[in-house]
Amino acid sequence: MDDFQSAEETAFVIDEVTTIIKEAVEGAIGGNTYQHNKVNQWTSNVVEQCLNQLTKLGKPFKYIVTCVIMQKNGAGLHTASSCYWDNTTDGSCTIRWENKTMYCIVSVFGLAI
Amino acid sequence: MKLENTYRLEPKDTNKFQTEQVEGLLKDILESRFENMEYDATKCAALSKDLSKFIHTRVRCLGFPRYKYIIHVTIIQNKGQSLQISSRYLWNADHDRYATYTFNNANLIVTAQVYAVYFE
Repeated sequence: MDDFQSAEETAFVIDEVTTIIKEAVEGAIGGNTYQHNKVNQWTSNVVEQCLNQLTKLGKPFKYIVTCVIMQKNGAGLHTASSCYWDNTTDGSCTIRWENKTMYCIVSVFGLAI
Repeated sequence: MKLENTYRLEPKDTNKFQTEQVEGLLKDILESRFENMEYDATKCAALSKDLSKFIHTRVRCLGFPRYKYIIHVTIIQNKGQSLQISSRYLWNADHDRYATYTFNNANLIVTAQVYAVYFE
């Protein structure tokens, strides 16, 4: 009996997701300087843009997207994730982006249905 | 050895992920661990990994069956800078939940999120 879908179509492809995240971040905060009153809107834009593009891939996945934007102030930040899932089908991707005034860290977790 | 799935489309009412219970758990863990802690770059790197594994074990011990978990922990030095964290999800709102807690003291801010996704 044939598989209903080939392995490539239902796997979490890190390269594709990396491209999506980078484009979303560049598009939302690309050449901007840190502004406290806009950061709320920026994080929402980044996350929503990522989620929209991921949905367009049309894969049978549930997604969780997290975005952290921090002003460059010399302060330290550490982030860690721990996951309980199926290693063969699920995956995650984290991208770190920065410019002169801020850091942006985006994590995407994809869980197969 | 790969086992075939035994499908169950939704959790029994008694087995649904309880947000309040997990938020209480996160509150206890973070408050007891970080009560008077200072920020130290070398220690906090290992501490964040350790904390996420610890929360992971405790949440699994609560025993909600057929749930997959993602635990996300962030430790930030409190230096008066501005920070924004957002997350969005694409999931089944009936069964999938998240719990979050933020702890801060004079030196650092710790935030933990637990996302629970039901596996059919």
